[in-house]
Amino acid sequence: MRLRSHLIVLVAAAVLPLLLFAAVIVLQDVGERREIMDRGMHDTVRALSLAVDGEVKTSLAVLQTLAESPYLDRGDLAHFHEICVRTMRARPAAYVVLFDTSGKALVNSSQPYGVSLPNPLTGTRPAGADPRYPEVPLGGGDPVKNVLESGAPVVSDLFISLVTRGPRIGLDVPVVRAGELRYVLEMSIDATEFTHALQAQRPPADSVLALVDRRGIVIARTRDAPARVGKPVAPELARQISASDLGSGAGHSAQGTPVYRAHARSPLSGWTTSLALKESAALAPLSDTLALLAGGAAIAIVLGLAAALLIGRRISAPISALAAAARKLALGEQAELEVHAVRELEELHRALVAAGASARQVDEVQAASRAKDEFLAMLSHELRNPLAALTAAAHVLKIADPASDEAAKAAAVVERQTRHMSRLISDLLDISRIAHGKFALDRERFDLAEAVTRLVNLWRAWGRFERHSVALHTAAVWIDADRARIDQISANLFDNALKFTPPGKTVHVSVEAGPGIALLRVADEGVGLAPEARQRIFELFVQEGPAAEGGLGIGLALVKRLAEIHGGSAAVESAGPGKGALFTVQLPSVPAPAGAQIPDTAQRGAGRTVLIVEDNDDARHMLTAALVLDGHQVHAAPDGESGLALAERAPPDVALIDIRLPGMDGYEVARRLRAAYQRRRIALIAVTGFGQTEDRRRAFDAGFDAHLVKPVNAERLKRVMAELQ
Amino acid sequence: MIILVDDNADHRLALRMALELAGYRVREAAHGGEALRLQRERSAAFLITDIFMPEADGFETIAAFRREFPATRIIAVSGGGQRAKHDYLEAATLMGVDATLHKPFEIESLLGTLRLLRERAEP
Repeated sequence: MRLRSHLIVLVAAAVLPLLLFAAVIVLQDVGERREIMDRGMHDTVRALSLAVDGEVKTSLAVLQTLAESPYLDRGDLAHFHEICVRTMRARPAAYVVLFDTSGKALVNSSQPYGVSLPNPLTGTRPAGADPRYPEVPLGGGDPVKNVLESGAPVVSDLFISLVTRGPRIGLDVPVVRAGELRYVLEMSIDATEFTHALQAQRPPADSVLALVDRRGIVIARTRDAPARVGKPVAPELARQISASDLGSGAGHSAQGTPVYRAHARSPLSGWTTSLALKESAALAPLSDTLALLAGGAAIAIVLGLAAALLIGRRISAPISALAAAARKLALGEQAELEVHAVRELEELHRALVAAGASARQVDEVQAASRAKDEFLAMLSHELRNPLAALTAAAHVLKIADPASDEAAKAAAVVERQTRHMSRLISDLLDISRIAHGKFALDRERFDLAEAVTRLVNLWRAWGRFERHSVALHTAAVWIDADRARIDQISANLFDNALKFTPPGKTVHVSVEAGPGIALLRVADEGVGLAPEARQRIFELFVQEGPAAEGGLGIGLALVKRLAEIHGGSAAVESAGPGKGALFTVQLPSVPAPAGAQIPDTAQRGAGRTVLIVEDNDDARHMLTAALVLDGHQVHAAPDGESGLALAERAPPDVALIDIRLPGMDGYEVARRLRAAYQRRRIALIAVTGFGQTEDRRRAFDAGFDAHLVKPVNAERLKRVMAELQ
Repeated sequence: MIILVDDNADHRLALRMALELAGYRVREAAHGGEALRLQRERSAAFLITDIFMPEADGFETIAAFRREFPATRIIAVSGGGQRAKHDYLEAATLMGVDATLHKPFEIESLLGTLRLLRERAEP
């Protein structure tokens, strides 16, 4: 079920009991109103009844007055007629008749005096005589007879007048003289007079007022009087009337319309006044209330539903948005969420954002774990590669002649690869020590320019810069640092530069002094860096650039950490991919010690200019490295001709010459050097693969001062050079 | 004749000497492109290639050789650890190389593999 449906049910649950309650109240109200209306109708019919009684009483009073007339004492009927005519002039619908005790009409105020008048006692016919009024007697004999019998005033029921042939009623009083009943005086009143009297009461619209005689015949009626007067009332009303003197009740009109009736019987006349109200009119105020209630309920329900829909949308739209956001989070995307008006939704929102954040954290942890996995794979590769080379070299050393070229090359491979591995391992250990805060610096004061220059020379000697050219610019700047760590920084920067610089391009290395700082810069002409990679590149295990470049991703991280524990920093700049990179390491500088230049110069002076002529690359690099490390200026050549050319440009103090050379052999090179530098002291050292006495002798014959057997031991070379100084 | 592809010059050198000492003629290539160039110059019977190389990836080299020189026997060598998520040698096997070796390997096993492949080629 949708949220909207839930809200609609909620609204219904709130509104329906209210409606029920209202309905109960309305029903109660309806009862009360009915009672009030009942009472009002009773009052009305009673008042009408009293009004009719008043008329009757007034008329009876008039009759009593006439009955006392002295003309009747004297039997002067002509004068009596005159008085009667005068009296009744104001009431054209009524006249006065005087009967004698035999029922003979003597005087009628509506007729001229003396005309013959009908005798109601003899002339009256029972009901049905007049076909227009089948239930009403023709002739008013009854009241006259009643007065004659009772000697008391009588109020008649409706009859048809023998004189006018219209429905009338009669009020009859006895005329008594000297205790004897002499005449009966009657006031005959046209029924229409009562109709007019009822109409004068201004009955409410949709109502009918009626006056009914004792037999249930209608005397007067405010509506349809000509048709209904003289006819019996509806049976329903007749029953009600006969049941009580004063009452009310619901029923139906002759036409079948639902009506509400009240009636009251006059004790004086015995006539009943009746008020019938159309139920719709009677209950109009009630139906108004009901209509109001129904309308109110309808409006309440409509408003409630509208509110439910509106609120539902206000709640469900953000929920849908949150659901969409949650789906995005599930996909690992960042989800933007709006602020919501509903507090619970706001809380849900916050919870989702938190969930998203922790999901991202999980992602980061997974990324870190992935980086570690990749690092382990790379580490495996980086360790296996030198091991493979070592295994192959060991095999060669086992198989080949120890004096052969192959053996020497294999030995060089072993040396290079073990050095590479040990650097790799010490880098790893250092990173681990730094990470665990167990890193001690063995500080001393030295010239950064001197240290960098020495390392560049060493790398040149090892042949690491073979495929690139290196431009070195240095200015002396002293630092208080761990020499081995500074070398590590330089080596890692060189490594990085070589790895990303195509062969033939230049690596620029410079050392400068700034205010209170020493700057080591290494610029390459390599693949460069995207701007977003510049921060990342110093992170552990991060590799930028073509994936196939390999490496562990620890070199630059180590550079940065080492610089930082020296109180310095490391940074990289790049104009973008393909435009090279410039790495700068900044270290705090210290003042140069007094006379610092002197030991520097002295040290350099202590070094000698050495020429190496050796066709085996590895052997040549190894010898160069060993001699550079001892502070000598070294020039190396792969064959005799270029060796002699070098000697011309930089006259050597010592020359190390391989005997077995392509083209010109070592003996020849020695002879020529001796010839060229007759007046200069030059020490010549032969390097051969053959340690036989015969070889030794040949060397000395050629002018060599010393003889070394391959592979050359660095300590032995040092000793021999010291001896020859 | 063997073409030897590896980006590590020392490994190339040591391996070359070991193979030459065993009587093979060897030509070295630092990357797959160079190997392909050498092969087009003069066809070799064997290709020993490292999978993890710069320039052309080892797989591309293998694919190129399989396409152009289906007769050449290929031995794929990898330094990737067996625990790494993707085992390159397994992928190479799927590509139809004739043998695979994990670095570091004994030279005897390489020589044995070469012998086996030769015997299979000339029954």
